[in-house]
Amino acid sequence: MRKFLDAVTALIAFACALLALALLGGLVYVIVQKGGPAISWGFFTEQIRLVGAAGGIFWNLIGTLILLLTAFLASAPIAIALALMERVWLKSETSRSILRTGLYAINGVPSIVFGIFGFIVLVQWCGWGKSWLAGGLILAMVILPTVTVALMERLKAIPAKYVEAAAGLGLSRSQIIWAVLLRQSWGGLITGSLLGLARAAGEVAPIMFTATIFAGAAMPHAIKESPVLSLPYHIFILAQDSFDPGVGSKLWGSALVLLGLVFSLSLAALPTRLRIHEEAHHG
Amino acid sequence: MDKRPNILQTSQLSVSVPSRTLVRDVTVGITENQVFGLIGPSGAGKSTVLRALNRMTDLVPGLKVTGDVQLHGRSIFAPGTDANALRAKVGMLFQQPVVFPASIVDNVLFGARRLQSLSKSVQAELAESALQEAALWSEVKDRLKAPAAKLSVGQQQRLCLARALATKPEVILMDEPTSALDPRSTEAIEALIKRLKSRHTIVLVTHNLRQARNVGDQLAFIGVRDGVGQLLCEGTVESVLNRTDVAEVDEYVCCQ
Repeated sequence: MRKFLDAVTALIAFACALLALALLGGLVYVIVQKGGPAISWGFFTEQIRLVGAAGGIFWNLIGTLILLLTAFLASAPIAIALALMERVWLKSETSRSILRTGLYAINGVPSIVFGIFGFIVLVQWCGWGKSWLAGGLILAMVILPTVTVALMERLKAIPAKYVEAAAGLGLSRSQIIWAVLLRQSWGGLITGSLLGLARAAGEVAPIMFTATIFAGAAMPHAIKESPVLSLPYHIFILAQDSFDPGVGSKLWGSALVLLGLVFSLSLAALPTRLRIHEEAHHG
Repeated sequence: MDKRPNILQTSQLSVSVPSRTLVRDVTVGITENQVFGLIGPSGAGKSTVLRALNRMTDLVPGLKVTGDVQLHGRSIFAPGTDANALRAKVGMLFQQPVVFPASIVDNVLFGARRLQSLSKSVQAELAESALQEAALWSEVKDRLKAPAAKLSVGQQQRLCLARALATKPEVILMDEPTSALDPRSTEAIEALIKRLKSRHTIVLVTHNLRQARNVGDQLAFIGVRDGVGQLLCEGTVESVLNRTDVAEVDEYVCCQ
């Protein structure tokens, strides 16, 4: 009987895993099949023409990369500060759990709410109008919990013996932070950022009111009234208007590129994640 | 009695955590250029006393140190004392070698390079002299840039010693430095300890009587009485180990 239950459990688990893989595989298959024909060198290097029915997605790709880079640069220092605060300065478990709960709460905020918040505060109140910086900052808020928690986990994994050894040599607390804590945890920052950015890359809601327009933008040269094009917004607009078969193929092509971008970000995070696991087991 | 001055002097040193006292009223004088051994059963507080000597106890939240420790006659707990500068002068070697995930040379200079700005050539000289002093130079001189983790555990422990030596400490605190090592590496460390005392003062926690006899000049026995760790006797190695009138010492010596 017990053997039978074991077998059934294994079978169910196996079936679920297979279902998840099949869903992923099916998704990728459909997008590659429909979007593949649209992919060409020109699709990456040309700009949008005929309201998306012709041309490429050059500025959309650049715009998305600008937003992601801004989000990374804005979130990294705050994540470092928060994670160090938790590891070094907060002494009581209560204050630490308040910080962590706050982060999880931010993580749970719907992205559309971030979008509205950015619209009210940055676009209207600061008077930036639609701006790449507003979008980048809002995306930074979206990914901040992911980055911070990843960095906290990495900091927590640093054995206390390193801190002790460094202190025993006479290093001050700030020297220990630089030489031991940050030196050994930057992988967590990179991993967390890549995973956060992989999620942020596809978000429309945080940037649609704050940073991105459908057509007519190139490289931003200022902060105010300097929107960018972006991939997810491009897909969002084309999807509402895809009766034209020309638009349809461009739509799927854009989706394929976005999927490729997200996968590459996740894959880029893989080596450091694997290394962290290895160190955790052998360290 | 030795006429050289005491470099370290503890008076009524006690360490406690909120729920209980770990070790109470330890008063010992440690003479310069000697190996001062702290022996006693596990859990009696030898390591705790050792860590109070360079205020490593500060790093443990909730640990309370009372009494005093004087280095060259000046209290290390006096207001305005720089605990970090103290730890550079009173260095530490731990039970398990702790090498940083970096190259051999980066490990040697880990502390020294951050405590003062050193030119590249001075750094190279310092690394060599520290490794020489720790008897590791000949084994690693061709692979200074190799990861320190590749060394054997015994070599890693000598690397940690070199790293402490590079900050030019007067006193080196050693917390059972050979308990993780094989007999040959242990021998190497013991030979080193005997050599190092010509220029440094060494306080050695050990649970190994053979080691205490081999390298120690003075001994203090810390045992548990009434549930609290305390100094039960001190003196030269043989005088302490022959104190059969102290029941705890007798039992400890017999059992080894």
